Amino acid sequence: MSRTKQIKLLQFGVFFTAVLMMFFGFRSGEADVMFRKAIYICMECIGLG
Amino acid sequence: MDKINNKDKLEHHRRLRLWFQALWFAVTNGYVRGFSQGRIYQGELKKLCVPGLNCYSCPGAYFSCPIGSLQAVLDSGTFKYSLYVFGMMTAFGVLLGRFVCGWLCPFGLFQDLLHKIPLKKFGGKKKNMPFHNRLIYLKYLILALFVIVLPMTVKNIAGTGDPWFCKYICPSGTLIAGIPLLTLDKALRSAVGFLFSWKMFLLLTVVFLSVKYYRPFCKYICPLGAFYGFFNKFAFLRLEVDEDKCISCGKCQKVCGMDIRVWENPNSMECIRCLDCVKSCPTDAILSPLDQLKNKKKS
Repeated sequence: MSRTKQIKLLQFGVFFTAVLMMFFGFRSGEADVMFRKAIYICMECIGLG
Repeated sequence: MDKINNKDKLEHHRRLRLWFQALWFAVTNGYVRGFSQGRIYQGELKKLCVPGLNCYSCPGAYFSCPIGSLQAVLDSGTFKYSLYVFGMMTAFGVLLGRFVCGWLCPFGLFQDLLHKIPLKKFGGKKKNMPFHNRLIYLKYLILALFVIVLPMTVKNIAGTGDPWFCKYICPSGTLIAGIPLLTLDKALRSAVGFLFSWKMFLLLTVVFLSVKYYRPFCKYICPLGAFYGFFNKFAFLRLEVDEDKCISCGKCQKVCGMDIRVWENPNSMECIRCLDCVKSCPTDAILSPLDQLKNKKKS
């Protein structure tokens, strides 16, 4: 297999895996945990601990 | 005449990139009510991340920060690992690599603007800090320790942890979230203590270093740049060098702020895809993703 084909396979393979991870992560409620953190002022981020 | 044209081309490109970065920041942080009322956006868009280091507590931010979100999931006590946020970061990485750093990161923009400030004293401007070749590995240590291991492992009695990078290091959060919110909210200002002073010290250090050195935070500290760097070798957005045209003149490295020997390593993990090298190559040997697409269509 040529290097170009190897890279193309890796690109699409990784992208597809990333999309699957996002799908299963979303279903498991991870986005809600992230959302709950993101919609309130992050005291640690602004330097107030 | 060619030298003048190439210089103009490069300057025009640099200005274009700055404006693109500013426009992206304005669009993704356009929640004006946040700035006028000292609050943050609470809509559903916050379930998505922007690719760059953009604190979700910025009053204008519509989206979430990938590094902040990753720590939020890992330190929540609910999840042992992240799929959703990590998947999103991986998708950004494989699509864009460190193009995010060069074109889509607000803190990258901030450092680019600071580096434009003239400096004649203190030895003038330099690309790299002393011990550059060793310091570039520091960001990988920060990624591993402050973003992944410490949030996952150091927990309180309630079983939750801290976002170590956001809390103790991130100057982007201090700049675009801490300073505006504390300016707008008296109650928050009354809670300022040692931690804020420490973060301001870090921010000011980055500010002064950015005037003298090119993008020191991106080179040595940023865990998000470290993560995206792993994808540079095979991301959809890559550079190619036409070896038939390349004369190894080194012009690409000369204009490269990240000091990369582009003709030898066009997809270096340090490359932020600013494309200055593409614009300055005297033989057009360096092919941007757009050039590669045009060549494919021709053939």
